[in-house]
Amino acid sequence: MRSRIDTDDEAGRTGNRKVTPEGFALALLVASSLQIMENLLPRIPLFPWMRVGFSYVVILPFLLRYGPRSAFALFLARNFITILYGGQPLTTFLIGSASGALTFLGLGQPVAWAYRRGWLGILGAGIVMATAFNGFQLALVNLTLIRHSGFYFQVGPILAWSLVSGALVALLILFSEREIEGLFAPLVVSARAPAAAPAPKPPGPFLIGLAGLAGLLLLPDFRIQLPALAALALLVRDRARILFHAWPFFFYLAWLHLFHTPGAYLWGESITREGVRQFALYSVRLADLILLGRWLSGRFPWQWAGKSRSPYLQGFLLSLPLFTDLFRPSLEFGREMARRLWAGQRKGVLAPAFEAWREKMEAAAMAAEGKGTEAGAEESGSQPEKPAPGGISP
Amino acid sequence: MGLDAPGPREFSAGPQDPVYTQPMRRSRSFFRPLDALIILTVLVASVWGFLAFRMEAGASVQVFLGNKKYGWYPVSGEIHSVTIPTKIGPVLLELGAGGARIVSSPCRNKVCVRTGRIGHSHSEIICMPAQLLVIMTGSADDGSGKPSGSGAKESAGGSGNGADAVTY
Repeated sequence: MRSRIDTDDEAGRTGNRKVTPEGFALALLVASSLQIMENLLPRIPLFPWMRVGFSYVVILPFLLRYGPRSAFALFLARNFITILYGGQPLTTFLIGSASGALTFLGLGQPVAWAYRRGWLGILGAGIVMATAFNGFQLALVNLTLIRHSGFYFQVGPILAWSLVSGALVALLILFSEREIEGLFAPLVVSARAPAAAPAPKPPGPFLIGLAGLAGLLLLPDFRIQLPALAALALLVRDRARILFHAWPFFFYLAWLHLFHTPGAYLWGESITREGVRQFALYSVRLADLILLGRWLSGRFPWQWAGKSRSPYLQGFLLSLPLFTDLFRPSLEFGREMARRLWAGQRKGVLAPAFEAWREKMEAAAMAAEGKGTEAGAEESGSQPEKPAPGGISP
Repeated sequence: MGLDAPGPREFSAGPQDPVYTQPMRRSRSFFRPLDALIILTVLVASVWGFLAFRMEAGASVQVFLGNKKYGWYPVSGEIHSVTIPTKIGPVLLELGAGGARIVSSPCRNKVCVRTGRIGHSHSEIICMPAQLLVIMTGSADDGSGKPSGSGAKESAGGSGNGADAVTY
């Protein structure tokens, strides 16, 4: 069997070697969406880590083509999106990110090197990365949270599952060759001379909002979260619609917190008092983060990103406004993927995910470009009443 | 868009773009001989993991008050305490590091406190005056696989079958 992931060396020859902000943004959208979709699937209580890791269908090719730094940047950005919009505890983010750092920065280079030389196939690369990540995660969870030697009973199952999940990811990459190829040259930016620069935004409100975001993330306390929700409900338009569209996030929170939090039983023998409290707290926090994310996206001083030369930061910022509508497409192409697999269509099984986000990015880019032209017209005095844009409007 | 350029960008849809349509070479294999070695190594390590590490200590405790299930708590992680409100007053239960013990109780003889720490499946701490039963279960689930209410009632009622201690 052959695959089509070009490495750095070959990519250089095709003139498509560097990570572009648009490529990174599209990869991040697809990876996060796959992650969210997977998070919605029920987990096995004793083995919650037993998941395929669908997002590695994007991250692993990124590693093999662009190297460990790019892959880790994508992985970290995906984790950040998941904590921002998935309402996961900070510990999950820290342990996941630390495990990823050890895996990508420790093993990424040797794996990519062995792959470039043809010693390692995608199958082996997938299994090595899955095994390393799961192993590091198991050790970190035990060192930081569990601290019980009995926890290592999971070594056998986790290694066996790494074998299965690594192989599944490799197979999905094989079945999604065409889509992954497109990912490496996703949206091409022309060197057209700027016709109209977006008006610079004052950074004050954005910085205040950013500090608020950090506070909401770090202080899961009703005394902080509830007043914030009240304030944001006043500040953000379409709040009810935005929150309604995010209902699967809240469903996920219910799955995690309401039914799996230990404590004193409140209703029946599944919902505990502590679980209700945790669910309420993290739901309010999630609502805060969603509404604040929407508020921030319209106030980002894009002139800053224009100065940054990092394609990762630019890509992350480019994708950020589109994440407020992350769940609906995730669910839609999750359903479509399941339908295709059920029908025995292996090739292009992940095509809906890639196509959906490509279309969204292109639509947003065209909208932004249209607004940019309007802003230019405003500056020239032809449309004085139109406000200048601040980037892609969500 | 204005991310790294002062003006808006022009995005092309991709497929019609010459870079996008440039054929990418089929360069690497899905499977290489080294992959077989990796699969074999992980497989052997997994079998070793199954054989070398076994979970024998209980992973959560069930708390019963009278003939009712009060709640469940995991015993993994950092040591922490929970207060159980019983009919004779609050009982302080310490959990963590794979075990559980009663730290303080308003009962007279304090046998439940002297029971010490339990850490294996099906081991129990019983406090009769408080009508409290703490029983270790094998997995950190939220209700399945736990002792039935009637069984717990029997234990709390004084059968003492398998109990570590009973406070009278």
